[in-house]
Amino acid sequence: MKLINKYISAIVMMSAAAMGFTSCSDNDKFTDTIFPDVSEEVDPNLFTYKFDKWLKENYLDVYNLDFRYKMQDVGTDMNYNLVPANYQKAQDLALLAKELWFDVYKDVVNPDFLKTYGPRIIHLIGSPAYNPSSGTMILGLAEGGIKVSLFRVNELDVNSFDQLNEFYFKTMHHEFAHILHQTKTYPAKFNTISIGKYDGSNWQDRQEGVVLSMGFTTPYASSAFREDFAETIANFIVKTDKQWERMYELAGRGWESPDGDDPNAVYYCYYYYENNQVDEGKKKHFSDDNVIYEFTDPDGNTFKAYFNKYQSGAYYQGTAPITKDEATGKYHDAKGRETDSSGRLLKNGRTIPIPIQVYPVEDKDGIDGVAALDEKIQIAREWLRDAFGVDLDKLRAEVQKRQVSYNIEQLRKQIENMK
Amino acid sequence: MKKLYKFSAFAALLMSVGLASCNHEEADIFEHSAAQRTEEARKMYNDILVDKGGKWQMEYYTTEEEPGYIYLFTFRKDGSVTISGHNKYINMITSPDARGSKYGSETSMWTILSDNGPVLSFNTYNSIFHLFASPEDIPDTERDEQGYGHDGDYEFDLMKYSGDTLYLEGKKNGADIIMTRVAADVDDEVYMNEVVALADSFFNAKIPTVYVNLPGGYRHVVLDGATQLPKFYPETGDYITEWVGRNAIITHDGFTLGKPLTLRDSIDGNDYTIQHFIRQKDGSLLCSDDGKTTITADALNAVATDKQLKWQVGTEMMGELKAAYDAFVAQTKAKNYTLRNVQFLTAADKSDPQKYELLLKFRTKSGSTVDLLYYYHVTLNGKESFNMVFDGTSNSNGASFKKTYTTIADFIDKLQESTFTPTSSSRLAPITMKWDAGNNGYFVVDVQ
Repeated sequence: MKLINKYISAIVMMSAAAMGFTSCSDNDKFTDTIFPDVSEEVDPNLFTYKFDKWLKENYLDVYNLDFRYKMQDVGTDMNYNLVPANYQKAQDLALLAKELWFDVYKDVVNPDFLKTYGPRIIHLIGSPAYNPSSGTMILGLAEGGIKVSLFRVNELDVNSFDQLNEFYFKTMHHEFAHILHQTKTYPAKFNTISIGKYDGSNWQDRQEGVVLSMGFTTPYASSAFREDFAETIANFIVKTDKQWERMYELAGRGWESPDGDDPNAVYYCYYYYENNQVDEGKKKHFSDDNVIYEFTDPDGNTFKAYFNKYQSGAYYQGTAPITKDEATGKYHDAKGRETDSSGRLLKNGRTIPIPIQVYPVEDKDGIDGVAALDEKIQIAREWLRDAFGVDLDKLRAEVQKRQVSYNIEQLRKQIENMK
Repeated sequence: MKKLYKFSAFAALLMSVGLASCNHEEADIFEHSAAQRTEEARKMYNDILVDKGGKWQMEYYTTEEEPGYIYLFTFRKDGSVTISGHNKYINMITSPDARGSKYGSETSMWTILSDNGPVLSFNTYNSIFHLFASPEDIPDTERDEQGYGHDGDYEFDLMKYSGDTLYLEGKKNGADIIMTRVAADVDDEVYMNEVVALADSFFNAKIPTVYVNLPGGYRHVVLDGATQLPKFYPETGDYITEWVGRNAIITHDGFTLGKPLTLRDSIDGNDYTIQHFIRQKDGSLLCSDDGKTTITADALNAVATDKQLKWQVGTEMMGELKAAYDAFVAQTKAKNYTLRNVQFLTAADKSDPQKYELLLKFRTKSGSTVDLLYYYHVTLNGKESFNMVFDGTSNSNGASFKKTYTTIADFIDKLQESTFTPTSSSRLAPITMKWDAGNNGYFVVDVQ
């Protein structure tokens, strides 16, 4: 009986609830939406009509992507002071993003790739997002695989390829790499390559050459695993062969600082000894490749020397005995080379000062920077191929081709010619 | 059985809740949803802004540490807006080291957003206006403001519309902003030039002290008015311990403090709250909040004899004073002494701080200069006029010339027998005065 009573009670409760709810449902249909109707058509009366229509036809209709060039503060981190993007710069960046990002994936991978994996929102912001406490600035953000924010748009210079690459296109590929690995995780092995070498707090104080020798493409790559992964892909794609040659060269060097482990220490890859006196106290560091030249001494020995720096009062001496040719009055050493009366060798009638010899810093950090870079690129290459069917090398080749051949005036006509 | 009662009671309660939940169906307070009402407000403000030619003046503030700036906006239905301004930071856009104010105008986009309420947003970059919201370092300060900039807003909560005035609040930094409608046919550059000219006429760094004159008769000193970051302190008080500052803005009509300021009148014992001032015909500022308080320089005879000022006689003069002036100019010229200028200034005599000097500066034929100095004291007659009382002393050049050229002695006599009543077109910045000596004529003098 107790059991029956329980069921009854339950039925009563359910009935009561049902009555209560049912009594509310005297309207069988939903009422009209509480939100006002928003037309999807572009208003031809707007000042921005041509650009809006171009965006609709090239981003919204094709990729279901909202390209936001009119800034809303609520769409940003309110902790930063930011300003909107300049209208003309926004148009240029929209055109270039299509040319150097979306169309590349469309042509090299397949037309549907970015429809599936591309961001749903691109938000342009005119200024950088500065972090005054660290002295850094944010150039791009990828949020949850949905939204990419590109900063510093008002500094866009369509005539400076290096600037475009560094501040925008690298950022685009970087943020897209984040979206992709937020969709499919990259191999954990990547994180082991430079483990122990990341520094999330002071990466901005690290030097480019030093981090390259540690196997990072940039100082920012050395801030965290995932940034390293995104930077590896982005730099591989946008940096030219010549830039990569230089990066590998720096990655293969040794670096040391006369200030030891000081957090603000400056690192150098060359040194010399004052007056060629090999003594630790006389060691002077530098990194400027432009002051080094290849010197060949009178005996045919070749070494690196510092341009226009010489050992004080020191000249190359001939080999004894020094003899004088009475007929010509000239002196020669035992090897027949011309000298002055003191036995100093002459070249074109002038004595030869001994240059300051330059030494490369020994690579003692135990890291093969070049190998680490290669390994990271290979992992990214295989991951993109296996997870997404993307050929990273083809992608890079296409970007490299396009980034030196685009014509901004031609691209602008796409918007100007909109009807 | 007890349990059954309990369950039944709970079921009844649930029924009543269920029924009660229907109540809202019958009691809609508003005709439209919140979203629709927000949209209606958005459209209303949109229409207000583009109405009657869409031209508005904005009194724009960043923080309390910075003056306000006047901007003109022309809103259009196509979503574009032309923004015009005239300030030193516009001048620095192209050259960070530039000094002085410059006019600039640029067209960008605007919209009314439906946020928590209607928000006026200038949503594409306008270099003339967004410079105050930019996080870049401010060029003319020693501090490093990178990351913060001026802390100005470019999105504004629309708070109220009343009598062609819009009341807004900076969305991020909260500054109170006022926009007032301007006639559609106003030329932006002419209008902004007039504002800048007005700023120069209100406060002039050459006039060191101006006063808030409270209705009871007590005065508060205003310092640094020309910076539009004025400081106030009681005339008989102590600057160090009693000053209070405000940021301010010079509009097309007058002068407004960023926030109200309450000052004590020590004569009638009342407190007066002031904020808005309207320019008067005599160049003074009248407080429109109480209709009584004014801002002026000191009495003109006190300004004329201010120990910190140096006055130079201009070319405009009349009457016997002019005749006496012309006579000594002609007599000395005949001997190759060309008058360069005549100045009234404080004498560099530390033993007598009330001593003034009349300086007659000549250039000789060879190009060198000769300074004649004649010393005098001043007598103030109430707040209207003053007299110069020459004590007969001079520097050696003065004595020599006075003996040689009798017309110089005549000129000094004419000055001494005159009672000067100074007048000026500006009671606030009287940098040019007419020293009127009645039947003896007048001089026009300028502060140097």
